[in-house]
Amino acid sequence: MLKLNRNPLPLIQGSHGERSREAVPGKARNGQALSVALSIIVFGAVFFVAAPRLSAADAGSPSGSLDCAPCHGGGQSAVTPETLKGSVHASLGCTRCHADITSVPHAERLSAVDCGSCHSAEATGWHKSPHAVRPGAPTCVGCHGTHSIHPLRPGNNSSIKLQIAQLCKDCHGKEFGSYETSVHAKALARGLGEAATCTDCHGEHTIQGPESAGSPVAPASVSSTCGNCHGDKKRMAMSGLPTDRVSTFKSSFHAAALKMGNLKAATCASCHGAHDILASTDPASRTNPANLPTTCSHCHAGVKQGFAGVKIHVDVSPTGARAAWFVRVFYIVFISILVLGFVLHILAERLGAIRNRATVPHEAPSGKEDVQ
Amino acid sequence: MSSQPGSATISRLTLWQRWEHGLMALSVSLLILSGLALAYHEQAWARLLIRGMGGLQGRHWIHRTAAVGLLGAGLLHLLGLIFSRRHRRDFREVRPRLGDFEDAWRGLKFAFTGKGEPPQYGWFTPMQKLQYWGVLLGCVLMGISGALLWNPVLTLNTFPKWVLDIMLVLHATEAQFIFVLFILWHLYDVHVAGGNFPMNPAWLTGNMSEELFARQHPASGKTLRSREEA
Repeated sequence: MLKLNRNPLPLIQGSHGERSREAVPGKARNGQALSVALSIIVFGAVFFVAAPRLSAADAGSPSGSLDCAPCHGGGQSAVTPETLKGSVHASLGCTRCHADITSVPHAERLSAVDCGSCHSAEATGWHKSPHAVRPGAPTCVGCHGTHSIHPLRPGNNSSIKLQIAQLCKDCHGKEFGSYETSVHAKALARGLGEAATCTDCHGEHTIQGPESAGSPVAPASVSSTCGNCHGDKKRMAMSGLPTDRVSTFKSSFHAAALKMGNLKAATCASCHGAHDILASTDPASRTNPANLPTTCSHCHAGVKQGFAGVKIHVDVSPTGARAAWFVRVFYIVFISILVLGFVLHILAERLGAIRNRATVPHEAPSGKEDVQ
Repeated sequence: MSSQPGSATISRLTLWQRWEHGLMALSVSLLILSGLALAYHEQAWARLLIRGMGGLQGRHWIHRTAAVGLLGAGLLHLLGLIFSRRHRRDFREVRPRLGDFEDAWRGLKFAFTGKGEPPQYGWFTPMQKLQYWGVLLGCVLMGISGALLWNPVLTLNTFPKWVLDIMLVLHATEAQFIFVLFILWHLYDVHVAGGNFPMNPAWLTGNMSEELFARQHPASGKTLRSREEA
């Protein structure tokens, strides 16, 4: 089992309460239109009272020209330099995100922060994801946090990758449960940052499950997604894994059936599993020789134990399936000779026809038979 | 040509042999179309073909039905050999002889250098003999490998996987061999070569003109006489 440090890096600081104050990428949600309107009225009133104190909203320093510190310098709603330490947004003014604050004191309820005003690509991606349409599903802050927002470029950092999985666990506990013991999670726990976490397969902002068409884990595309790493020589060399798994799959009948739109045909996940992928050497693995009959039986009735031990991903090459490779080479040579022979045959036949005509011209009295 | 009024004809194929040939031509055409479509499924033209056959499932049944058709043609051939004396004579004619290589060599030499005599082919030319035996061997190889691919689960339950791997490569590559030799080459021979243009009608009427026959098979006069006597 993995012992995952819940938050070694402050990806999310603050309580669930803070997280629930949503930042919605792109446009503010419809339900909040009323509070926006109310805010405008309140701000209008405040403007007349406190006009002398106001200049344009400044984005220069955390406090800007508005003095936030008297209220947020401490206590429950504190946002101090300490809070912002290490945040990628530390240099931004409060009103850069809380754009609806034009004076203090501000309205009790603020409209949602529009992250999409700067991060439009990410916001557009999120809007396409199932998270966007499911109430209670995470918005930007759900994963990135609020004030202490940190750069989330996992790259090959295994601890960040494990934290991503921990974030998803809050809602996707069952999936995390099977992922936790998989080769991928174990490799990350060993510090191999190349191993896959949730977002590597499902996507980041446009995170999707296998049921949405065009998703990286949908049947038609999952083999390419796996291939991103499992076709990469450098990455696979780190774990001593072969790089031909996806290319051999793509030349198989399963791949042909998939390509022709038969979404029931086997993909990588059909045999290897999805979250719970294990090495074939693991007795619990679906692809362990002892379990292959069961795995294949999901689609192919009548598979016997004799099936066990077969090499599925064969590469027809001198190092892979050598006998089949030999047959192929034999035919390539043979067919090449045949094509040459065919050309020679046509030449000989045409020349022969010309010579025949020259030697026995009277044989075709009508001249009709001498068709070219 | 042979349809010219008054011109004498030679009987080349019996009705039985023409049905045999027709069934084989139809089956092989369907097999090659549906087979190459799968082998080249990555190509747009192949996918168009598969769609035209009603998708992978339709392609699957066309291929297997045609395979049974080819098996039927093989059976007709065997029955013909058993029950017809003429078919057995044809079979004796098609047996390869050492002289065939000599004839083929003489033909090539004459065509390219103009030296020596034009080849004296008999009832069957060396090329026709090669095609007959090639078809026979091809059917056997495609039949065996196809039968093993028919039910891959049964095959994998019975044989090691490398047998299936070889059969898969064999089936796909032999198919391309057949396509070149028996489709392209054979079609050239019967539609273009030796004054056959636009085609040698024997596959439909069973006959070809005596004049054309004498030109293509000059040495068969003796065998012809013996055939007529028999």
